Amino acid sequence: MTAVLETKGLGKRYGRRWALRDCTLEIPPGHVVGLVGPNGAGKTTLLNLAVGLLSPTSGDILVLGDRPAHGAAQLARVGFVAQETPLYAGLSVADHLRFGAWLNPSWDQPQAEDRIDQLGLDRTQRAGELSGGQRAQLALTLAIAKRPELLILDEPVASLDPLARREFLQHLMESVAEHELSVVLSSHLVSDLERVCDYLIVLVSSQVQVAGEIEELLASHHRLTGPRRDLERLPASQEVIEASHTDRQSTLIVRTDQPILDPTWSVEQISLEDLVLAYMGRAAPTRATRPALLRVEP
Amino acid sequence: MIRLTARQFRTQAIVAAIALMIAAVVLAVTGANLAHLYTTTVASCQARNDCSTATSAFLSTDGQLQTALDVLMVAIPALLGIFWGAPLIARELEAGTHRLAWTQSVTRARWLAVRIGVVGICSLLVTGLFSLMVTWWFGPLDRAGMSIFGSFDQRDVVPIGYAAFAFALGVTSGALLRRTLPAMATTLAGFVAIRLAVVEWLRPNLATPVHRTVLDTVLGSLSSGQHGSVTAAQVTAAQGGVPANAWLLSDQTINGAGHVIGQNGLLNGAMNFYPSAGGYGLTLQGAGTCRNVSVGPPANPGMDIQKCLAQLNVRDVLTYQPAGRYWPFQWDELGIFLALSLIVVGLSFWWIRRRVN
Repeated sequence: MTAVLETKGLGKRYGRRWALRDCTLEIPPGHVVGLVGPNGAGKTTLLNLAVGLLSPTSGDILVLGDRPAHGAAQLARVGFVAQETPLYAGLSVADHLRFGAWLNPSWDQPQAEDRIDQLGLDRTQRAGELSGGQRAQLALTLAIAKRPELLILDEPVASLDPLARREFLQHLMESVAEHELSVVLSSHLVSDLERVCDYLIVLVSSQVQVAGEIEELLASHHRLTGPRRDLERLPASQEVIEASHTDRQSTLIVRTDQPILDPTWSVEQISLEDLVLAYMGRAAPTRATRPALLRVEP
Repeated sequence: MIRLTARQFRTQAIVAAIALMIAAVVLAVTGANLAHLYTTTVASCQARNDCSTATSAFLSTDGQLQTALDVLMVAIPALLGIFWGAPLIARELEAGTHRLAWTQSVTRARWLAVRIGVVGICSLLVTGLFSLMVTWWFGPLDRAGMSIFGSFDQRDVVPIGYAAFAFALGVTSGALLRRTLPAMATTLAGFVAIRLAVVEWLRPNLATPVHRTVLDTVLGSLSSGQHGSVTAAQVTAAQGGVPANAWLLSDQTINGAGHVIGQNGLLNGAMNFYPSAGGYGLTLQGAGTCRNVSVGPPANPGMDIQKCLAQLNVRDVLTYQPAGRYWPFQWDELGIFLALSLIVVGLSFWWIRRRVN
């Protein structure tokens, strides 16, 4: 099957600053993909390139096998909820649904109306008067009623309170289940990803640190604690992602498909959050303990 | 897409339609009165032999309304460029809603084409209709005033060209600057600059002007008491002069050798008038001296002033565009502004499709 998103050496430069540089990745279809990374990793740039709002400075990008925003048909296949969920502040909720129907040939009006009713939104209310959570929900409703094959969301819940965030993700999951969408969403928050994603990509400084199905990632990563030892002496099948030592003890996060046989290690399950932090720490050693990943952006 | 644009543009369109309707009512009432006044005073003035009084009285009718309409007609294209053109794209970029609009199933080029098409045509329509009303309203005044080039910018078809250009300038500065207020300011500055440049340098040269050389005479009569030097004497074309409704570009006084000795009816140098043998001497600096110039009653011997000027071969060179070029110039200038608009709009298309990120 065609990858939903495939990039080769993709780069985007603003003046002299590269927002994304030499990014190569491939996202298989049929997943809810979490794209996680620190601020400045290039997540937003990558997603904007994927929906054709930006055009690349270098490299190639294919979305569902075609160039992003290549004609109306390609635009119709990809739904997008931009960062901060922009809406027309002066237009009402009903106007937004009309707007969706006018601009999208595959528009699903009954579904959009059902969703608006479920959300309890007043159709005559202007978008500018909605709460952050309602705005995000309306933006998501627009993106889903367009009936895309791929839904891309850029930090959709970053500005929402925990309750709104949960409702939003619930709405997203229901729609995914109903329409068999592929979804790519970016987030700082691993906890959100854990709830909805089944595939994870960790992006640091434009480079993919790790990508894979979350279950497999969790099954193949372990925290090993035991007497201090030299990393050179580990089996070749064990890739060390993160290592910390005290005088007498070593704590490692390793990736391996093999069982851990050494009885001196005590082996622990690793949480998704620790896994992501380990990879981000490895990519940028000086920022290993950077708390950005856990911070909710205002 | 058309419906979306219409929905977003609804309020402005309604305001413009109401303003046009109010203008139509005001102009219809006052204009009918003006037309009636023209037929009863100016058109029949010869029978009563009071043409100059009747004309000047008629020309000052509804003076404030005349001024207001002149100002409005000049301002409306610029206002539409500023308030309809500049925010058209800038407001979307400013609010981030372009990210919503450009990810629907409509290409960016189509989005832009429809927006520019719908709102642009509305601004041409508003300006065109207003110009039609104003041109009709001023009809009798323009016939009486005999100076059609004086109100060239505020009549007939050229305002449509100005509206197109101001709108295009607004749209494109909005796309380039991405912010509404700076785009508005740029639109105003750019529009005023190009309009002035066209009026100053391009319009007078749309066709090679006509030159006409006529003999001069000194304005007013000289009397024997008026000895000595009279500086900056006024001269005027002795015969004919500028044809009715023509656009006078320059009026130069030249001497026998063809050198310019005065501008717009004023001589650069002094005129010296003094008693001499057999009458008076008259010296025109730069032109020469006549002897035996007579003053006072025509019975006196000697030549009169006009003969003197003829002898010195002092002439007036009039450079002008004749009245018959009014309509060719209207179409030319409309064409120039429409072509400029297309170029400017093309730039915004290129920019939005390729560059705006």
